Amino acid sequence: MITIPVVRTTTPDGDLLSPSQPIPADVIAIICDGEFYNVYHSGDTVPQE
Amino acid sequence: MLRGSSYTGGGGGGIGLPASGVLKQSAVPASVTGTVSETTLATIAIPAGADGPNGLTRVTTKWTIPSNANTKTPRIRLGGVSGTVVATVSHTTNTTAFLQVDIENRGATNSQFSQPRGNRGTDTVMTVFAPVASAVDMSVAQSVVISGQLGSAGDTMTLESYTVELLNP
Repeated sequence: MITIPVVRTTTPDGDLLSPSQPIPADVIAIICDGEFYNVYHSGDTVPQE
Repeated sequence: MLRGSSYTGGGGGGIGLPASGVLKQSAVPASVTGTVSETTLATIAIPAGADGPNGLTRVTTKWTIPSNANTKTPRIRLGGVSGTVVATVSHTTNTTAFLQVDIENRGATNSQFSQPRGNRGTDTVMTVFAPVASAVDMSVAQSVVISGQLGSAGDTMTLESYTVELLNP
């Protein structure tokens, strides 16, 4: 699992969070918690909701 | 046909435009929780000039959400994170959401008509939402941004899959 910090952009509709760098292509799940994008690869355990 | 990142352009339409096909597709779940800010869950690049003056970009999204009184709002933007919202609907008492939009150029690459459709915010009845006009210059590289926004930070909403198709006549 890797973490990618969010960047905050102000839009006419309010703030919009985005990853600070592109998310790799070979992932199995992505979870943004408001501060980081937690990016899971094959073999990682993805938290259950 | 366009195939994901292998896109190199082509001769579709007979006038030098790329052929129609799938620009990108993913069923990797992307979730947001812990924030009430709108959050990007997927960004799909559209190469410069890939969408001709009468081209159509179709974005299809499928979501799972908790059924409660809090709002859960999927959005589709054209033109990056600050781009035009071409499709959105707020959901409450649903466990699933479907949101699709046809973004059609109106004889020019900088004028679009978008017609979103999907299930209503409180049930699974499919409906057509108000059309949206935009003026995004598709002759340069652009992107589609798919985002989710929670009304309560304690909820989670998940973009389960998306497909972006490019149709040039």
